[in-house]
Amino acid sequence: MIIKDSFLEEKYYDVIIVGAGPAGITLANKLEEKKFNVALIEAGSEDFSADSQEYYIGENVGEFPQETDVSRLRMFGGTTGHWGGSSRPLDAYDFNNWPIKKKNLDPYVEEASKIIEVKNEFREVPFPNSKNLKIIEFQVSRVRFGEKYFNDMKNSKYIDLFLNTNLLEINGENGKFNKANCLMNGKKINISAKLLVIATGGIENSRILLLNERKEQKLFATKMPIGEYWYEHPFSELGKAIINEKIINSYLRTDLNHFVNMYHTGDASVTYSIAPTENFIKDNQILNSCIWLVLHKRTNKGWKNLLKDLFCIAPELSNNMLKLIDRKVSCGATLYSSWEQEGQKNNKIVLSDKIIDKNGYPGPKIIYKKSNLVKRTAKVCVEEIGKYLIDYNIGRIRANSFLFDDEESFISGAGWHHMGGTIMGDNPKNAVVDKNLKLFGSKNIYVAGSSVFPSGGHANPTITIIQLSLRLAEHLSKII
Amino acid sequence: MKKRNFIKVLFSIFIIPNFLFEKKKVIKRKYSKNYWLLSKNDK
Repeated sequence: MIIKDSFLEEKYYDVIIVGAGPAGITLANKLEEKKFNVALIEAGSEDFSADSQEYYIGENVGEFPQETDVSRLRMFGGTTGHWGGSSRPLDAYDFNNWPIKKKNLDPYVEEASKIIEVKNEFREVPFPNSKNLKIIEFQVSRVRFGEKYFNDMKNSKYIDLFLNTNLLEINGENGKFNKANCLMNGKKINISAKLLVIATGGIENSRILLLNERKEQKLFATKMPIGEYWYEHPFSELGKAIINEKIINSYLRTDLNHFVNMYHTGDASVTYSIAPTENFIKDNQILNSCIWLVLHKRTNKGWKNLLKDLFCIAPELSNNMLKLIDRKVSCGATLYSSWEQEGQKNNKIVLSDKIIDKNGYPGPKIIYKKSNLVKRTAKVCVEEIGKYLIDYNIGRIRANSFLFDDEESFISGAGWHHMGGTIMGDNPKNAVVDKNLKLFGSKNIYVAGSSVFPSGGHANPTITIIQLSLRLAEHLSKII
Repeated sequence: MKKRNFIKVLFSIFIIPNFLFEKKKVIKRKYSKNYWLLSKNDK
């Protein structure tokens, strides 16, 4: 049911979940199946509003390319209200610095796929005749958690959904949480439960813990790296190319048999991209990455500028390519990439001393810089694809200057995938939650969502967030 | 033979001999602001 105004403070829940995004909603639904009483607290309302988004205003220091009130949604359903839907679980080698491994999350991928209504097919095949590149498959979800689950919450027997309810303080003693002090439509209320799960997203999770760390209630361990090792998925155009489309479509015959779909990203339910293999990543000491080769439609005349440039340095090649384009054999293409950024201690969320939200609490301040390794990863991958196109004479790449000019600053976009800040690990010196997502030093406070990822590969994080919530639900069901 | 199948056969004929050759080195050539990744045989 939905709690709007009146609320019986003596009600005692099994679990309070703060945040109704994909992590919180998935967890609430699973706990409901086991008939546990859940209070699901959402700071926003059923839909987004400018007024609500104002609470998300933050401060950026460094290279972070987004506004914090635009790149996430403060509403029921969370940021799935505007996500792109591309979905793929992390690769096994993305778990190298996790306390759990891919095999620990694999049992949940089928159910996670059902939740986001995609096929559990995330195949990969080697790029033909290449040991260094592979083709990987993404499923594209159209599910908005807010739209899909709002009526279920309304009619739920076991979930009380508190909308427009802000968590102000976590209260308790000796490492044990007992009640959440909240502001519901301007009125202060206390909600009590056996367990608390913070699932407010890749920025707010850190902010809430930093705010409560200040209270010195000793609800969790001190000197943990809260807010640190925060990262994104850099996203950028890496270059353009002239590609022999006919060969791409006929030569690159694979088990996936749909390589052509790689550039049909509009309404497609499946897309494909090129990724480096595990060995290539290890040999070159780079990060994980994926590159979309987006072939241009015939009406796009961008290839003209490419060939005019090429004519000045390789006129014979330019003329040959022009003939292939005239014969509709070749076409222009753009290379886009979304790739891994390593977690670094100095990339972090702290509390701002300039931004104060409407409730009087400091907003988040993001301190963010990309390392040289991030730039080198993009460069190595583009060079490898360029070499492949030369080896099989199926195209040439014109790489963007930032990849090769050391003095040029590297300004990329980002995937709006906020990760890290409350990372999972083995001890509180270098992590915030343990492998069961419990806060170090706490008896009953847990964290869910992408903030617990110690590393995030290149894949969009939502399906991994859901897998982790399904695993957390199983764990909590055993201990409540 | 359908046109599409004909193209597949045609390309497979042309591409197989490529495997026998040593892989070509990539050279970078800057023009204007960006870098072309070319073979040294590209004229």
